[in-house]
This record gives sequence, structure tokens and C-alpha cells, in this order.
Amino acid sequence: MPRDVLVVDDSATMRKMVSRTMDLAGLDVGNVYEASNGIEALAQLASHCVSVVIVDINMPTMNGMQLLRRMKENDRLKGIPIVVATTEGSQQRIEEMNALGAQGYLRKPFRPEQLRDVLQPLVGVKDDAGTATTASGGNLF
Amino acid sequence: MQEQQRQLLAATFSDTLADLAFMFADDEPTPVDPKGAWVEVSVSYHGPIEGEVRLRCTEAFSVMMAANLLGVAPEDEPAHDEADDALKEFLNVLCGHVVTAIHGTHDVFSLSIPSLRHYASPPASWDQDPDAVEVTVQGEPVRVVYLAQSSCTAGT
Repeated sequence: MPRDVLVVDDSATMRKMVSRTMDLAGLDVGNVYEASNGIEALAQLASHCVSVVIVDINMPTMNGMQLLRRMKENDRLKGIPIVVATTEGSQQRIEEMNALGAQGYLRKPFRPEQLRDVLQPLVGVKDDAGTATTASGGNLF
Repeated sequence: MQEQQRQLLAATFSDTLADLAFMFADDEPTPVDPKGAWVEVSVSYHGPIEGEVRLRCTEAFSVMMAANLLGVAPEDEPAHDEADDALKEFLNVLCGHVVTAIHGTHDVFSLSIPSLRHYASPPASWDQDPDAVEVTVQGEPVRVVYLAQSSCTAGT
């Protein structure tokens, strides 16, 4: 069954790229909801149930780290897997995200196979017949 | 700017351009058309060391960038509508990699939100950046400038 995803990034171009990359990666994604900051993301999460949130760190109004904290403090949202997609590459930042509960980390730019490795355990992939195939493993924290 | 940093900047720009936008830089610079419309986008970073990366390019380059990122033709409307945003996102990614290339992965750096400005013609002050990396991408001139610490206010 296709899984819905929320993509949070202040760049409309990047949101479209992530959506396109998920399709290229053969991931079994249904609806792709978008938000340009953490506030919009919380509004989307209030209206839609998603299987994973892909979030950038550097955003105005409410950044990715703040959104991560807010989701983990919310009983309804804390169980939603979060994958951070960022330009930052410091080891300390990666550890901070891990400590905040992020399930995965992708450094931009990422290839379809890299996105698939992280998201496949969460949304599954389409097989050649276009049906979903769940998989174990993946490149998660 | 040290020559080593300049080479790192040039290499990081080429790698990011290829990996993100599937575009390739030619080291041979193209003369700047003094009457052409240009764009400057900048991202600063803050941490143990502060710096800024600026990218200067033609509006035509920004449209090509958007087309490549979105997977559409340059003449398509989305390529023009999203040209500014695409350029800002490209520099956002580039700056993250420049920071890593120059300063490593040990320290945490925060990046600013990219800022962008259009120019009807390239300002004469841009000729005063001897350390600018000058390349050509699909026939369009592109200039990348790295400013460190107290020199961040120079060249404005």
C-alpha cells in the first residue's frame, strides 16, 4: 500500500526534487505533502497521517531541529519517523539529530539509491509489477 | 584568499554543480557581457569561524539551473518561475560543502538563509574580486567568491 510522505524544506525546488527522487528511486509513495517550515509542517501533520517526514534543518520561522523537538514532545506525532535532509555535514550535528530521535540522515545532494536506502524500510518499494514490497534493513541510525 | 582555498572552492563548486544539477563547469572563463542581467546570491555561515559564499551568474544560468533541478526544459514556465529559488538552494548546498571542505566536519556551523539580488548589469565592483573563481557553464559565465571572517563586508 502506498505510504504518504511529508517533505519540509523552505525551497520549493528542493521539495519538488525530493518528490521526483522518491519516484526515481521506485519508492512506494502515495501522497506527498509539502511544507516550507516547521509551522506549516505541524499544520500538515494535524490534517494528514504520514508514514515519514523528510525535513531540512535550515529554514525560517521554525527550523528542522525545532520541528523535530516539537514532534517528539507530541504524543500523536512522536512515533512518525523523521529523516533529516541537510547541507550540513558536521558529525556533531548528526549526533544531535540522532539524539533528538531522527531515524535517518541524508546529506544534499543525494542520489535516488541513497534516498531509497533510508526510506525503503519506512515506505517500501514498488516491484516490477508496481506493487509494494516491504524490505528490511536500510541505512538508518 | 589562499590558493589552496581557492582550489577547494573551485573543486567543490564543480562537484556540487555536477552532483546536484548534472551540469559541468569549464575552467575557461567567458567574458562578461556588461549589458546582461545578472544575479548575485549569498549565504553566510557562523561558527568558530565565519564566512560567506557568493555566486554571481547570468539570469540565463539561473533558468538553466532550475530546469535541470526540476527536470524540465529551460523554456518551460516552471524553470523561469523557480529560477531564483533554484539558485538559492544550489548555493545553500554549495556553502554547506565549502564549509566542510575548508573547515572540516568537527565543528558545527550554521548557515544563513540565502539572499538574492538581481542586477540589470554586472556592477563594476565585481571586477575587484581577484580571488573569484571564474568558470563557464553551458556557455554562461559564473563567478564564485569566498569571503572569510572580517572580509565578509568587502566587495559589496
